[in-house]
Amino acid sequence: MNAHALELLFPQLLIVAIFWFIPVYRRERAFFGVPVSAQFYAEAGRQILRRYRFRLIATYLGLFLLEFALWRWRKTPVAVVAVAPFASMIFYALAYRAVAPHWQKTDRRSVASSLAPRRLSDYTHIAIELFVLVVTLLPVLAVFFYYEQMPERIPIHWNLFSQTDRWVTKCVGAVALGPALGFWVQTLALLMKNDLVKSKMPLPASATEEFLRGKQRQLLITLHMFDWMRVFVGVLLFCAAMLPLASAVASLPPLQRTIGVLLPISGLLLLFGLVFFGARWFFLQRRMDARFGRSRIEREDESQHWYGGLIYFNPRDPAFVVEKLEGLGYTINFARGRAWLYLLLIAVLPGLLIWAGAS
Amino acid sequence: MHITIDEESRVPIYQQIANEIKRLIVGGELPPETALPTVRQIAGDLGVNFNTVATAYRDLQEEGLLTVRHGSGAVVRGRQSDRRGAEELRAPLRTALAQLMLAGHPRTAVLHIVREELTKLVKGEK
Repeated sequence: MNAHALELLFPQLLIVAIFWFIPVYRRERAFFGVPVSAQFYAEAGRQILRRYRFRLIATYLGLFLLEFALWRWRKTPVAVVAVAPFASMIFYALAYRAVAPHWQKTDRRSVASSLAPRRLSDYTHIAIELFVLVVTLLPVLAVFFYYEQMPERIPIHWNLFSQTDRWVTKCVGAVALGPALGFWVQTLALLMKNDLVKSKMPLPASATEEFLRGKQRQLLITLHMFDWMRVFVGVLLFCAAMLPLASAVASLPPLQRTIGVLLPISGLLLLFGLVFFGARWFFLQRRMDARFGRSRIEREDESQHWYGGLIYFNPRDPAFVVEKLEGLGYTINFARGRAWLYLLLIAVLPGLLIWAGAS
Repeated sequence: MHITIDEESRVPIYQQIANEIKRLIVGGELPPETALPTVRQIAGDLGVNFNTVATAYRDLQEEGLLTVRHGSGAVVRGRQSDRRGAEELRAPLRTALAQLMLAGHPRTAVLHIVREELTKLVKGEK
């Protein structure tokens, strides 16, 4: 199996696993994000789940086989399997549509809100911010100082076995893409962190303080995971941005070997953090589900504003960041104007890639 | 420390929010100089319009209980509301007492209820 196939296989397996388990990890409390009765979950729900999982596996296997056949025929990789996550989202939305009519509404009249202000400064660690700033800006400065010293052909892609498999003619786009990507990622991440701190946190009218403590701990775990990701994604992008420079410029300090060590370590630490904080979140949510019967408070009309169980569009909800239906993470209220800022920032990525390609 | 609203109550939401904050001030849970969340945070958590929370904050500011800082929430000013006199405040109490007696509660029971509620208010209980 070649390096390209390995590069694609792991993330796709991860995506399949996520779509496989997400609908049922909280059982009837959030079956495709919908609270349903135990009877529905055990009977009609099982048929919906079987149909959904069959479509998931059939699509992935079919796309993998197609990609393998195309690679054997054309001798170049064609990332057909990259469309599989989008197909998975469509299957999830179809299953949600079948489950949503069985939404068990809670008879809830009252809702509570904490009076403790939630500010970004309360969740900011100067050391982390300085480190992220340094790893983001250093490649920008390095490109600025060493661009002229680079040869006319520069390496820009390495496979899993550290072999260079792609070169390009030196140009600003090819060299500056890495640093620009790092800058873009950290800008988006900081904006997301600010909005996460201010995410919607409705509380029940009973056992309010205890529930609030649980939600505050959930938020803290999320923000710690976010900072962990910012640090190690920052290091990975630093390595990716510096590698072409380090490979091509003789006068640079011997970075290549350092980057060769830093890359896999950062990748592993990033993965470790995701698993560690993800597990903490998971077990805290299980405890809250067991203690309160739920870990997420919803309004009575909320079911009308979830589309496919994935997209939240509610013009009457002033909150911008809300908990996902299945309780795993957060999403945005696309009815708020701020959503356009995110869509614009996300659109910058293809713009950067097109600019790099064109130059 | 939290506030609770009843979505099906006849009391307007902004008034419920204001009453809850007053209760916490009286009970000592919100001492002077305590920072309160922004209008956006409370509105988002409760799922109500921004203006509803803004109205509550504005009313409390007019009563001298809060200082509103635009964009960064509000700060508790003090425990004494300087807007209305004792005579003006007796009217709603008179109404509530009349309703209790019309509901058939004897005088001693009404006194007991009043003492109980006052104790809870001062202790910060609900």
